[in-house]
Amino acid sequence: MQDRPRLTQTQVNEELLWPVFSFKRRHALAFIPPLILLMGGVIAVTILIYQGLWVTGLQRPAFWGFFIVNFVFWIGVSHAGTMISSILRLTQAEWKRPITRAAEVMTVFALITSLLHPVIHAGRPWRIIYWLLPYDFARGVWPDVRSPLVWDPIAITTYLTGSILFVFTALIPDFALIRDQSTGMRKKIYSSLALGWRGTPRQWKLQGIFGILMSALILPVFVSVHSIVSWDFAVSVVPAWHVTVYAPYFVIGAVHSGVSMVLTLMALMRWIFKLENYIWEDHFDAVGRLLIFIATLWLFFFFLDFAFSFYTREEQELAVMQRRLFEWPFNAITVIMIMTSYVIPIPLWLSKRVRRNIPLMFWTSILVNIGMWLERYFLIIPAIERKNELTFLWSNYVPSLIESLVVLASFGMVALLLLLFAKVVPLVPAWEAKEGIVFREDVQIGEVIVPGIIKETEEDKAW
Amino acid sequence: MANVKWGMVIDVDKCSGCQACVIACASENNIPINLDRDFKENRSIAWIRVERYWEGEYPNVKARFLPVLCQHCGNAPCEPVCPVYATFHNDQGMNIQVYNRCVGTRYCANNCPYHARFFNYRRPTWPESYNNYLNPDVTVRDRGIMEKCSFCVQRINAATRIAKRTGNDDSIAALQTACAQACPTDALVFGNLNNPDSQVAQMFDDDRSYVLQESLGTQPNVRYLKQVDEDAHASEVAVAH
Amino acid sequence: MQNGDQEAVVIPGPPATHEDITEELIHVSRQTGSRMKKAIILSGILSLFGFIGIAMQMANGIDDHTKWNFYAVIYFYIFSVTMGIPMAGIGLRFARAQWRRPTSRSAELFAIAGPVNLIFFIPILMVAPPIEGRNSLWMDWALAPWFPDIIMMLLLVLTGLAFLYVSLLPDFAAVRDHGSGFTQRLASRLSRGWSGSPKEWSLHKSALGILGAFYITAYAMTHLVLSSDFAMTLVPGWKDPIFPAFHAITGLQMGAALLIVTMYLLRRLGGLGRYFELEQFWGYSRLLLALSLFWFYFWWCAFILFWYARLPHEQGVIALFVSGDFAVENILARPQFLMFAGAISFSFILPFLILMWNILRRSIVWPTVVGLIVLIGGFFDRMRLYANSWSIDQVGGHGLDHLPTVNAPGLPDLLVFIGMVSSVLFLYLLISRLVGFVSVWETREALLLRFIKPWGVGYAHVVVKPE
Repeated sequence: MQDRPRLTQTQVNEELLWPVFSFKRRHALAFIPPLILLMGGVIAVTILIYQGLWVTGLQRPAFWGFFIVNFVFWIGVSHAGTMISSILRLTQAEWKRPITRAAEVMTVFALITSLLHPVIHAGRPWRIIYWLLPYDFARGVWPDVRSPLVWDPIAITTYLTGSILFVFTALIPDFALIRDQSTGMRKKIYSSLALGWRGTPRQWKLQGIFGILMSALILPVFVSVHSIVSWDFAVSVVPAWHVTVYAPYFVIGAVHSGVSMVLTLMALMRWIFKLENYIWEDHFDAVGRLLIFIATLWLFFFFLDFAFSFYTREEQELAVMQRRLFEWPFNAITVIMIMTSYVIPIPLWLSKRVRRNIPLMFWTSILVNIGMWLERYFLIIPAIERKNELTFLWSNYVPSLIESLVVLASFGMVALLLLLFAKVVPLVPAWEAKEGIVFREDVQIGEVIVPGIIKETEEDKAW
Repeated sequence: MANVKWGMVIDVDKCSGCQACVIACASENNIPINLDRDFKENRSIAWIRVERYWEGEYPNVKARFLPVLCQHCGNAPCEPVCPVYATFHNDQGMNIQVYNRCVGTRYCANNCPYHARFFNYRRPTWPESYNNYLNPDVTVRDRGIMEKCSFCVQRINAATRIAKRTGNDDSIAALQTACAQACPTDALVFGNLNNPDSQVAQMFDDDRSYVLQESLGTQPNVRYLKQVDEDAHASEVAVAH
Repeated sequence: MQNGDQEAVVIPGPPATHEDITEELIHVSRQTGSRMKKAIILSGILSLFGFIGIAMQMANGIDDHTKWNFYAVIYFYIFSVTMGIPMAGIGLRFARAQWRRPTSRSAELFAIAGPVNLIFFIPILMVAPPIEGRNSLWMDWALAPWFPDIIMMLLLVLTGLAFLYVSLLPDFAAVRDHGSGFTQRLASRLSRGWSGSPKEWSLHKSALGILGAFYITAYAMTHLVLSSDFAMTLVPGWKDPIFPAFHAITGLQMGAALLIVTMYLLRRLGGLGRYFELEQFWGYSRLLLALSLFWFYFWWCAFILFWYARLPHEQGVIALFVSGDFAVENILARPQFLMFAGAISFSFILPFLILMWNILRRSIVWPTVVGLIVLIGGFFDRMRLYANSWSIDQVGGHGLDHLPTVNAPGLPDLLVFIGMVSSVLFLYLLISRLVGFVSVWETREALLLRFIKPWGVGYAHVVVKPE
């Protein structure tokens, strides 16, 4: 058992709040790579909107490409926040403490990033931006709710709203902490953000209740958002897209990808912001164990999709599988995808020593996300390149530089937003860290001292 | 004119692959001229196209031609997926594309099993001299907008107006789409399926008629007549495509 | 650990010491009263009815699988319910939910239903039509589906039994050390010299982990193989990759329901109220609510695709499993629709409407009521799936163009049902005479993991988290 540090409250304040009160070099330098990526993306999008979609590699019949793959990927990543936060909150797992805020906020930023993609990939972005709002802007015509492309923004904005509420409520005690430690303009801003938080027992109780309620309510939203995104593909008549297993397959893939992204984030946070006292090897261990289960469940659904592609032995679907497994570049993509999503990380993670080795966890989590991005590409693109029987029009999609720049920029955007967020608020919730310290109780059983947690329970039930 | 149902029959046996229909459609409907670049990029726009499939080994190679256009499906997969109602079914059995409503999500194109929908990746441009050549009855589509065969809806509308003005149905009966009009072998026959005297209604249920990708259940208003294979015995009608 | 001597605060003591638990679980709960004896004898006799039922069915002939439709319904119903229950115990152990401790033995014990399922599976294998002409996962393998399906069933059953045995080892030792009579001698044989050393416990924990993980995998794969080979491939045009997942998760839902009902019975009839308390019922009711929502979710994933895309061969599948007709009129007269209506009402609508209220979740009676409702709903669901798919005589082809006439169940089917349920009950009660319904070592472990200490003006509970 690792020797866990005993921190005082002042120490916690200092170690968690320094990015808010000062702008140290570590933090500043961390901005540079995302800014570069984002700049590339801004230029690419400007060219795209000004010139038209011909600057991409999209053609016929592959009308959707990198932008949609990236859209699905970032929606997927956004599922991690809910997974970690809600489920760990509901099961009262102790190891959630340092990671809930980073995960929840990553959800919000991932959703914002992904929402940009349907806008830029549309033929007329300046129209789609408002014609999908629930109002008859143009000649009394409302959006068509039969279309999965209308279900998408409904689901995503519901999820975004819920996540923002979730994040904000958990932020209130920390806003108050910063308010109490600052002066001048900063104090004014944080006072309004803190909504008058005084830390009374009643306020804590309400906050706890809201956390539990919101966790329970957001779980169905989280399952339905990625299911709805998967139905963009599944309810179509395109043979290899029209697969009933897509909804849970996408959801579990999203959780896999997102929780791995949380791992990456944990390692980066710990390094950039010097959070060694808050993010321990135990957390990586716990997340790693969760990921073994999630990844295996993902493999099961992948197997279902894969096996049943051959089931009816229909020519059209076999042609798509042929492309996926045997034709360049998909043969390589398939192999890389399986290796990086499952075959390399999971056997490694079975070993406790690997799970407690932070650099290894960081690199394997990045591998997983490479694999999961490729998985979206594997699912989406070959099916429309080899669509239906009229083989005269089958062709191959080759992404262009503009699309690649936008994909890279999306990573830059999320990273940049996270770094900006770290400037405003501590990434590790200070109140959760303090709660963990206060409620910790080491217990001696026999010869061993094991950590324990103090919990409340009903008065009439002692055991 | 609610009693009209527009349909088309394409006799594959008569099609020689000359592509007169393609040119006629392009002229009639202000379709941008497809350059080399557009074909290489697979972005060429041809509301009706002639697909060519090779059969057999040298020296017994045969080319089979299949003109494919929007099938104006009764159970169209492209219609429910448009988020902005830019495509819908009208009461004359046609699938209508509304250019100024389209935002270019291209879901309809993905969902069309006949690859009959086209997207304007570029703003179409024509040489200066072409301006007098454009058909004033047809909108020119800008970039970012989907388009497809409309069964020459401008001709349908014109014929309808004439019929209303003159009080008789001659213009409707004489109506031809550009492709059907241009076809030298009369392989394309267009008309009102609800009129039992029209040629298209009589050919629609012919023994040789078939539907492309029937298993999808799209109920197209376009049917094809099977090719008669000259190598088969006279008593058999072999199916070549 | 200070327990009794406090100055200002009276801290309640634990309800039991290690000795109390051992005494209660080894002696008291294993006493076989007359009621228990009668139950064992009766269920033993009724089990034989199952074999009579099989014999009667065989006499009807094994060539026509449409006559065996209700046999398939009953078999897959019992299979789904019983093989899913150990999953609840295993899953909750992996999730480190401490409240499950008193219930895990009663869940694991259902692994003895495995051999029953194996025996009754044999007629299914004999009657099912061969693979040629129908879609299948096995391509054209001549040995399929018999060979892979038997292997998967064997794997699942043996893993369940192995898991049960490993979990029972410390309790066999407890019976050996504290029991008497025939059971004490049997337990001492079975305990294989267990001495409770740290090394043994560590091995025990690893073995449970590995076997548990294996069981979960075997469970998922067996459901995949059985549901696709014996349901999906029989319906022309039915391609539904989510169906095995639906089958597995609804099996889990039915298992959780039966477990709640079992807990209630053990509480009322077995006098084990101290162990099956509100906390256990609350925990399982939340699990049941989540699984009922999953019933709807997995069903909807298939339905929305078939409904939206309007592909002709999938319309046939909707007609077979939902609407009962290709047109919608006269829907209430269609058996397929009635089966579907029963399934969705009892598996999803009622459980959801009841369990969405926390007051009802946090009770003992209401989760039991919902458990019974879900068991009924599960039967409707398996009926909807198997009675219809096994009624199709032409199993090849691309789509379903006419709905089959569904043969009604007969006396042999009723006998088989009674036989299967009774044999599971018989074995369950029999083995409980050896080791009781509650796990001694888990309950004693729980004592080590919770303490009470003074905290402020009252007391606080300290929960030890060794991992």
